[in-house]
Amino acid sequence: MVEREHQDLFETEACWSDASGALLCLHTGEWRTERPVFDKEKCNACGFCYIFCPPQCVVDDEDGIHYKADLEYCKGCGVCARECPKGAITMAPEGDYADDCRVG
Amino acid sequence: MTVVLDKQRKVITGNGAAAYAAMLCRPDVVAAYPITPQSEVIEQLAKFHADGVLDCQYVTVEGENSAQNVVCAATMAGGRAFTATSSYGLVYMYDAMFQTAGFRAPVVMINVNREPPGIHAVCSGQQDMISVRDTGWVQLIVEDCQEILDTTIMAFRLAEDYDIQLPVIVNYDGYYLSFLAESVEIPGIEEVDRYLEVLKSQPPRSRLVPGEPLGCGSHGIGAGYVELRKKHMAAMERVKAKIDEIDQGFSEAFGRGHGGQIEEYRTEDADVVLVTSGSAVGTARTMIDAKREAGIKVGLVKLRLYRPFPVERLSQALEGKKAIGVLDRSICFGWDCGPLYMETLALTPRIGLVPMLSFIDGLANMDITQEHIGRMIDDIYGASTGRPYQEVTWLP
Amino acid sequence: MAVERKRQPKVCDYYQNDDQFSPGVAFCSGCTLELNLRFVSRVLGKDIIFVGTPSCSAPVLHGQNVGAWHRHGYYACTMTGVASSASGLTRYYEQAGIEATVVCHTGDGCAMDVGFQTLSGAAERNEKMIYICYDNEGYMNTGIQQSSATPFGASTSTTPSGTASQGKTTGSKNMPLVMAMHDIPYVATATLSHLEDYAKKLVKAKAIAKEGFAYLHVFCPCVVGWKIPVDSSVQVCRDAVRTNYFPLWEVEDGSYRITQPVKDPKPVGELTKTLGKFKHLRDEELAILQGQVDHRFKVLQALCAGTGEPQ
Repeated sequence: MVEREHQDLFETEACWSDASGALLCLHTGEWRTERPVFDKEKCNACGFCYIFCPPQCVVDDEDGIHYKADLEYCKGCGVCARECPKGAITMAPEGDYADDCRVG
Repeated sequence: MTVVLDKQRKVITGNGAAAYAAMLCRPDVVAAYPITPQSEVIEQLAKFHADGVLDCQYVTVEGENSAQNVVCAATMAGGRAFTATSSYGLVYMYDAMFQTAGFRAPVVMINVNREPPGIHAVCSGQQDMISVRDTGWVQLIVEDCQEILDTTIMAFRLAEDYDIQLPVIVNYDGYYLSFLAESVEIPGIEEVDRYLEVLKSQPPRSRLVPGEPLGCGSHGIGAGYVELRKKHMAAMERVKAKIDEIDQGFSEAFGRGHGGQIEEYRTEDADVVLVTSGSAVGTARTMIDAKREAGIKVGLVKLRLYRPFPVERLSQALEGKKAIGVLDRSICFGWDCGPLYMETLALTPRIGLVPMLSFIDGLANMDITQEHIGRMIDDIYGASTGRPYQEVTWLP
Repeated sequence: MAVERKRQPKVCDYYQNDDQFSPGVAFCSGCTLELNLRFVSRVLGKDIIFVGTPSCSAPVLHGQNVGAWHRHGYYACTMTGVASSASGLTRYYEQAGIEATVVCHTGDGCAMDVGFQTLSGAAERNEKMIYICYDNEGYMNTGIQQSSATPFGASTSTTPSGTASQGKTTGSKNMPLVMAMHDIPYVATATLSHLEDYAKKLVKAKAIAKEGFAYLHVFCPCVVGWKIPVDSSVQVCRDAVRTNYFPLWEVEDGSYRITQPVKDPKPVGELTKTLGKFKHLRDEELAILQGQVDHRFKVLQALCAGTGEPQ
């Protein structure tokens, strides 16, 4: 009978996790059925979308003033749109962005 | 109260001996909740603490379940922790006990044996110890006050050993030992410091420290879970040899040992053997001598280690004997016999099929007398000569 | 309206560090608990040690085998052992001279039911820790069962509304007040629509936890269990405050004060009509619920008046 080489998953004797390396991560961006669309004209850069986003995935836009969603992790909940005092965020169906899924 | 921390000889109760031992090992955290017949252990520790003899966090918890969680967490943070309980309290900490053992937390705990709930009783019995058999703890049982003190010190040495990292219970019979006053040699605190010093030179175990990346109590998933279970089982197996080694080391340091996993009395040339544990051993020894005088070649095995079960050493002691009796101070639901008997019976593949007899005695503080032991030895001897015997006998 | 510069929300001044959690974690879309945990982490700082238990937060707070979802130290234990385990940690750290902030983070099921005894004991001993109870008014992770935090009339999987039932027949425990009656140095209520108020309370709690017990009760709607649109979770918090269903108050060394007074509280029906768990409520049940809300607020007002800050 061939002995299979066994590699322990744990260096420890008990159930300790180790956060010194990469963290576990789910592709939560794949969950959503709609995504937030930011209208910079209506936006007053108050930052409410940034503070109220549950996964904290609203990040600085390239222009350094406004905001955008990190689509890798945005779950499409719409809290940002709901909390925006200027109505500057709308939720659009993911289907409108089917082109994003194209390869090549 | 003047507490002498040098070596001394004092007349103290079993509970007092347990408290002294714990104090001498300098625990960082003690969790305290009262329960008869243990309360004196934590009361004595409170007094040590109040008089500045014991520098620790003395936590007066609101229940035994909390006591277990306090000591488990304290050891996971890197400390030394101790608590004491009995029966109702022991089973109240049942969920936390699984955690302590699964976390491989080196907690040391005194359990003063008392009958558990169901038939309400405030009296001695070993059912409590039996009922937590499969929580993954190391369990020892002792015979007298000196052994309580010595074994509790050894328990810290064992629990925290890097090769072991398991929680340890030291059991002793309620009433018979908890309130019995005997002359006990108490080591000086510096002697105990020196004895436990070796632990400091071992590799450090995992600890929960602010700012460090380790997290305690991760979910075990699939192969990870199985791996940890196997590691736990392997550590349990290592306990057996380690206990013998530690007892030897204790003997060298303090001038007395207690046999390690088991202690044999006049077994070498014995035809028949009685196996038992706890305070009944003292009574049994007297009767062994009496029956020897009467011509029966009987020996005694004192079972000190219950978990893990001392398979190899007990098999060695019982091999070649013509009949074996096991005296239990508890019952095994499901097998209609005593629990230690049932486990001894499982040695049959190793020692061969010989008459084995189960004796159930000493429940609910009913005395196990010399006369009872005498009858047991007669039955075992009778079985060894081919006389028909009853497999399970309830005494008196 | 184009703007020329970013305006930093004031609550950002309270953030000690970046988000210590993985960007992709298993909380429901719109979950207030996700916002709560990330927020607490940022305000209290990197070096806190969480104590958690099986719950909605467990799949994120606790690791999986060796893997972790965040960079804080944590201790995961049974529901019966949260405050006692935290006591063991904090007592050892004190004994060893290790500076630490231990933060219990549990739901209402643990804090108010199965883990209540040990929480009460730890509070009585004035253990040095912060205990955050996120109140989603039920056992959500196991399938929306009722707890002693579930309000009168709510439909849950163990108090479902039906032809013979109008949901839960008893009101909830007034948990923050129960904790205040332990005479611990600090108790506060908070929620996620009022983040600056919450941040101030967390900062106070952290300072107080160096000397004693701080308890925070946080209103955290559950989008699944309460049957609400996922985008409305923060708005529900706001409505709870506006209707005095969940007033925001604190008691510090025996002095009670309402931190966010509401000038014209709306009827509680304004809240319940937005929550699917109340959609079966008839006028008579709503009146009973309103009565409970009113009474609770009167008691709070009396405590404020009696201890120095009339509201």
